[in-house]
Amino acid sequence: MGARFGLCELAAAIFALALRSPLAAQQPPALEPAAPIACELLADTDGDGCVELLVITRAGLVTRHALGSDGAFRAIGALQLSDPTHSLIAVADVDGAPGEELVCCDSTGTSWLPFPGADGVARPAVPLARRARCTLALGQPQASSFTQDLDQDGRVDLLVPSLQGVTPYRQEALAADGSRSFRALDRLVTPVRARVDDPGLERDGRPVRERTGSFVVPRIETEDLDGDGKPDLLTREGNVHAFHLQDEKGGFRAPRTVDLAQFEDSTPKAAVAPGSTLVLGDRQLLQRGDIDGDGIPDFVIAHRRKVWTFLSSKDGPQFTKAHTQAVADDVSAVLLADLDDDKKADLLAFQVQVPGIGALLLGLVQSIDIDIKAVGYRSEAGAFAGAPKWRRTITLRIPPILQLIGKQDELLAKVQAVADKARLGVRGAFTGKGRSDLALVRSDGLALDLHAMDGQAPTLASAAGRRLMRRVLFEDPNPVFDLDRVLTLVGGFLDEVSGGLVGDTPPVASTPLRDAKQWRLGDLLVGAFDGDGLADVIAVYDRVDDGSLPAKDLPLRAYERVRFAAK
Amino acid sequence: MPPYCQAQEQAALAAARTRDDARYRAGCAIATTTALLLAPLAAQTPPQPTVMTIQLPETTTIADVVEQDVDGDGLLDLVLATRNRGERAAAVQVHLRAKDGAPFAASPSRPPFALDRDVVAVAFADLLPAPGRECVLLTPERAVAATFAADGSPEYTPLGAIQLVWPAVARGQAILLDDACGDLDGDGDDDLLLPEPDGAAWLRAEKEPLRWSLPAWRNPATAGQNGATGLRFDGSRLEAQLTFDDGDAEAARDNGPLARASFRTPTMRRIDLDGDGAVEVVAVRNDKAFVARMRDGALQASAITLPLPADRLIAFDPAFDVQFADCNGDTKADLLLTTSARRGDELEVRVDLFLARANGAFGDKQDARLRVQTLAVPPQLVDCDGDGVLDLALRTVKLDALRAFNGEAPTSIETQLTIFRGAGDRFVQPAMLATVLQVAARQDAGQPYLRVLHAPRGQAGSVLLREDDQLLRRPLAADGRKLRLDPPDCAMPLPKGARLQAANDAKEAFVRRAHELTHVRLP
Repeated sequence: MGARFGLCELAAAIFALALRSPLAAQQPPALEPAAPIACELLADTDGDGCVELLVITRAGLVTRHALGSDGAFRAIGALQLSDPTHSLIAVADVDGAPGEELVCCDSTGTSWLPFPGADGVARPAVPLARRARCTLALGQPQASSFTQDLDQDGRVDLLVPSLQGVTPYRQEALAADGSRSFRALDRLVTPVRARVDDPGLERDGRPVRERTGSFVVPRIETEDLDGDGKPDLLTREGNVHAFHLQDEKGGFRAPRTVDLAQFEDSTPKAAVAPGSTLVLGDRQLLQRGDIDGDGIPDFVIAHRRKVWTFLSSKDGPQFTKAHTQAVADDVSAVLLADLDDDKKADLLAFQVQVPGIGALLLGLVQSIDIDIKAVGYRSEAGAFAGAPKWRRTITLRIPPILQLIGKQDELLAKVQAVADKARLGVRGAFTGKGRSDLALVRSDGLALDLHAMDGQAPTLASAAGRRLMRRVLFEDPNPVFDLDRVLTLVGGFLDEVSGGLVGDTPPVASTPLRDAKQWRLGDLLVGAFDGDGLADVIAVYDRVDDGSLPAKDLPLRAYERVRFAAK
Repeated sequence: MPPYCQAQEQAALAAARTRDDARYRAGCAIATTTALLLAPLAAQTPPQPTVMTIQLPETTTIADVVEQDVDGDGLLDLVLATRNRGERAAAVQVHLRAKDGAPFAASPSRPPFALDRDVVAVAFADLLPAPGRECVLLTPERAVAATFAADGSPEYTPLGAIQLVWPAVARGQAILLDDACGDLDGDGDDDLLLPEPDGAAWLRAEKEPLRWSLPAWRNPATAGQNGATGLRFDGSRLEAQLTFDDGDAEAARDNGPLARASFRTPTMRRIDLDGDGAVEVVAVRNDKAFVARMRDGALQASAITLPLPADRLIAFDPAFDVQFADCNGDTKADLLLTTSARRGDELEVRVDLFLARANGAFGDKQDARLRVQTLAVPPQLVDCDGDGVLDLALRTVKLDALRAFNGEAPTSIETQLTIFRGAGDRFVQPAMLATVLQVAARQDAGQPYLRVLHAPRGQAGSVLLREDDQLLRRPLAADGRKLRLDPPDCAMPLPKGARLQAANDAKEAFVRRAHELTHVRLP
């Protein structure tokens, strides 16, 4: 009897502990495809109101998975991409029926790809725009944001990247027969970044261990430049910036351009003491921010000691009427930021002085100082005050390089400790409809915490960043920053941001994550899988590479539905 | 240089510079060839080398220069990759080497070959029946051989589908691959070894390409914990990628680029590791040397775990270097491994020699070790004393001199050139030579240059170096068991902003400027 009582008591205690324990969670079986993965997407491709997980392998096999009643993933159809090494993949509603379609842009054009029906028979791709082709050497399928409603007319447009820029294909109104058509607009020039390793290094007798090559076609920058509530486009080619304003019909007007090279301060470049310091940068700089508080971004161009301020209006940006002013020192960088919280952007000019080559070489064995002069001008009456309101020189002290290299283990440990404070998180209605709960990786990386939140969680990055900048530049009594102070500052900033997101409230539930030595959490996906109206979290893990497989057979991934016990 | 020669050269250069652009655009590279007579009797002035200058129009810059036997006559020809700034057009031009007289013609030996915008790299290999080596154009995904028809029009022959490690052209200029062509399988025909992501493609005439796949590059810093930050040392760069997230995953996804690609692969070197007369391809990555042997039309892959010291700097080692060379004359390649370690507050560089065993493997413990200060450049294995055995030349930074510096920043720093005699199984201490050299540390100073030149059998070698805007050759002279660095026996002034590039022949070098290439042949 006693024993039975003891067992019951023990069972009750375990049950109570399980209920209370933040680690109480049910882990359904994971999906671990055997093939190397290129990317994954969540989309409701069958229009049933529940999302499916689309897993795309490097070879271009797209497998659709739904969640079964047991919480495990169940494959419900697959299709093969015809040109996987050039395929950009997105999900978008392009057929008007409930749900979203898998859209693929490759070297043959842009189509949407229907999954096989219940009979398992493959269905042909549905062409959308044959001329919208991607010929970039991607190497494997890639998820991309190339389907966007650029003009916000409710129809998805296409942004097709190339090494020369981005060509928008605007979706026209539906034809009478319900067919869709896309019209190519002029190519937008974007600063495509392509890099290759320098063969000259090897020829100079400096061996190159790894040969590298890369390119990035950035997204088209958009912002409402004329206050009409519609996004306008910003592009750049070298020194020439172009602004494409959206018209009433959803098209884009001929761009307004400004060539920064025309803005030259005739003041000679800052003198340099031989062998001592150099002022970084002698190029024209363009920044935008709301200087007069009318909600429309204005522009500032700076070169050496001269600053041109251009106020924009409902007609958009203009670069003819400027307010010019001189600043005290040559400008290495400018920033428009609201330093005094009056909702108007103030001007922050930096002059960075770096040591010359001789001093840098001395830096092998001696610490070197990099001086950063920061001068802030308050915004007033649609321009900036003539005299600076904030001014200080801070010094970045770099310890002897050889000492740094010798103590790299300690340095790396410190940097890693700071870096570990940056945490991955996702928002969703996890605990109730309409909520914006936060699932945030715990600072030790061992678990995923669920924080229940009402409404939108605060976005603190910009506010906290502004506060940190003001404190560092103008308020901190000690203007010398060594590496330890910098790391402490960054760590404190990350703590502040994370703390600001979740406050002191403990998580309502937690679930353990896999051991990062075997499987490292790479991403968290959010979607409503089971039709209960609540969002689910999918943890995406990368198998840690032990060197036993060739790179072409990696990465191997695992997908795990995270179930919080309190849900 | 005799005064009349100087005047001639200056006049020719001035004339070349003032020629109108239209003539430049006509594709006629204007060049000045000057064969300078040495002045053997001018005891005060060192003799000057023979130089030949290729000058390009102001709008055309030299992107790359390599030597390669293009016409198959056994002589290394000159290949220039150029880029026209205005037209944003890249081209390749070839200057064939002459057997006698001036080595190169000033103007290209054949019309410059204009490159399409998607050509990332260019190599030369004899893969078609046409005589000589074809110009192989490499786009990120295709290899195509270009030949010329009788009327001079280009003809293109596809060689195969590839995936180059470079997915796009950068800066509008092509890379010249001088290390891609070679007879890898010993069948007497050219093969092409092309860098692909995490591996290589082996292209052969009329055969399917073979592929060599390697493990992924492993971040030597740390992988970090779940969902946190990526830290990595990549060459001389520390990259920290903060995953700063306030939970709005959708916005983050929309903010991503429209397209991107990033690839890497270890540099492949061709070495006869086992002394069988056929080359192996060696790639060093993740503390291993991966080896590929091409035999009987198949690719045999293996790996050697490098015997790295446990106390070495792992995340970032500025001196890390791996070289294979036969140091003891048994025809098998030995391993010269350079690593750094922390010693108290100091940084110590260790140069370890591992001799190849009979089976080609290396022992866990080095056969010889040298401890030196911070290296300025990787070690150089070269026979300096003419005894037929490789010696070891090291250039170190004189840290003591730097530490003693208290005043303004220095305008030059001291480096030390140290040469250790190779004894086959070790490098003999004390060094044969230990001499201090100054290196300019001014903003306008050119890039430092020093190369120890191979000694002819029975004689001492020499050192080619840049000093105060001059290219100097200083002979090494035997002084008993020691070597002595003598004053220059050959000197040449260098134009401002010039960059020096070593040539295959120790007696030659290239002086590169934006629009000008000077071939230098030392007497």
